[in-house]
Parts: sequence; C-alpha cells; structure tokens
Amino acid sequence: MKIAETKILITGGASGLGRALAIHLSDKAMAVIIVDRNKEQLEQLSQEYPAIKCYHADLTNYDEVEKFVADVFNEYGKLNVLVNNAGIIHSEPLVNILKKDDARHSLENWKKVIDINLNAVFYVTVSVAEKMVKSRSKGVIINISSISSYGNAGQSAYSATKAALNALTVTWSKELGMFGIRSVAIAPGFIDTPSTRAALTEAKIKEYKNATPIGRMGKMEELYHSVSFIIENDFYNGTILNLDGGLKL
Amino acid sequence: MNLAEIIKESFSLKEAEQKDDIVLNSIEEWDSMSHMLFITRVEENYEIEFTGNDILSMQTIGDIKNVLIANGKTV
Repeated sequence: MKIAETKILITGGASGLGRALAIHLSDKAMAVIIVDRNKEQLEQLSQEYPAIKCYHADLTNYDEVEKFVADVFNEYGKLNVLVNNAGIIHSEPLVNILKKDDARHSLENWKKVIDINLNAVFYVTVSVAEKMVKSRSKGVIINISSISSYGNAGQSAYSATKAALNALTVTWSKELGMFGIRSVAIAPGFIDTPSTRAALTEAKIKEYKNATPIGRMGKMEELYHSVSFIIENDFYNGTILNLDGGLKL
Repeated sequence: MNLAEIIKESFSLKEAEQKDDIVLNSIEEWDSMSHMLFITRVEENYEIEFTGNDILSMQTIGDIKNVLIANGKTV
C-alpha cells in the first residue's frame, strides 16, 4: 500500500507524537484526519496545517465515537490506516507505603487509564473496522503500544493497557487479515520529544540512555520510518514492532 | 475447488447433504469466524470480491449460489 494512496486517521492527533505524525504524513498521504478531545489544540493545528482535517470527540464515549467515525466515512468514503495513538501515561505504584491513609493504587486512576488507553481504542477500532470490512477497504490498524507493555514497575494500569493493545493487535490480525486489513503495534521505548523531556528529569533520561544498548533515545524520524514501513509492507501483520534501541525495562 | 468442496472443507458437510435451503449458521460446525473464512475461500477460488451487501445476503447455500451466478460465475 503506497502512502500516497492512503487515507489516514490518527487518534489523539492534536498534540505530542500524534500531532508530529499527522504533520509528517500530511503532505505524503491522500488525506490525514485527526481526532482529539482538546478543542484549543485542534483549532491551533487546523490553523497551522489546513490540510489536516480535525474532528473533536471524546473517545471514551461510545456514542461520540460512532458519530465521528460515521462523519469521517461520509466525508472521505473510506479509510486505509487507523493509528490508535490517543492515550495517557500514568505512573503510580500498586502499594505506596509513603501514603499513610490509603496506600493502594487509586481505583479512580486505574479506571481512567483503562478507559482512555484501552476502551477508547476498542470503541474506535470496532467502529472503523466494521466500516472497512463492509466497504471492503484494505488497510492497516496501527496500535501505539509501549515498551511498558512488557511490564514496568510503577505503571500497573499503563502497562496493562499497553499489553492489552499487543494482544488485540494479534487478535485483530487474525480476524481481519482475511479482509486485507492488517494489524500491527509499535512499542516505542523513549523517543526524544518535548513531552518525554517534560515528563522525565535529566537524571532519569541519562539513566535510560545508559540502560539502552544503543546509548541514546529514539528520534521522531525513526518512528516515522516505522509507521511508513508498516503502511507500505503489505505482508507485515500481527506483530509488535519494538522501537527501543534494545532497552529492556 | 468448487463451492460444494469449499462448503465440505469449511463446515464438514458432505456434498450429498448440501441442500440449497440449508441456512449456514444452522450447520453444527458453523461459527462466525468459520463463516468469514468460508467467505474468503469462496472469494479466492472464484476470483471475486463480494460487496458488504453480498456477504450479508448470503444466509443459505442457495443464496451463495445466487450471488455467484449474479456475478457471472458457474456453480
């Protein structure tokens, strides 16, 4: 599948990695469509990059997802690529002995992470995949997983949702492959982005660099390359592409 | 492979038992995944790509034959 012939939907595309990916693909694909819940960031992106079509929706709301997906298909006829990028990072130990009153991982936070990182992915994918199958559109679902999907201390909820995405990737590859719809996940390690630098201290970044056999963080260009490879290689399916420089947490 | 052979292989239904009015999901070996695999086998063997509406309309063996015939195929 040539990128120039694809219509691409990126969730959580108004900021961070999704935004960068949308901008990168906007002059290469036939259409780049993003959906996000942050109206201000959507408007800003829309003004700066008019070629990117922006939709507003809360992806944890099944009805809103159904409506926006229907709107996208009504306007564009079909989709070839869905990038399930929307998500939040949350770090919290299962038991925090420093908290005297309630040492347990917050149930509210657990549910919030599951809702955004897992339920929303299911809502979007089931809506998009149904329309792709019925319209016999071939393409690929790309799930943005994480190095934490293999288990990371202090990230019960986040790790669990990313591991679930890996499992869904394989499951969907088996179910949808017969319709020419592939499913692949990218599990990035630490990519050098403003959000990564904002989230981690310099000391932590140095620690991760030292633990990474290749000795540095990943570059956005390397992520773009992975996405392009997945879109263009029609035999690549049901696989988790680890993009981590060899780092194991 | 013809339609009868595909049905036999997909659902373990002998050719002699394949009546046109048999509803696919009444076959003991049927489930939703085997149904989708069956559809893609028919597509591959008859070199055809059904529309979404075609797939939805194919409830019985007779329905499948009708769709194939409507697309210029011999069954």
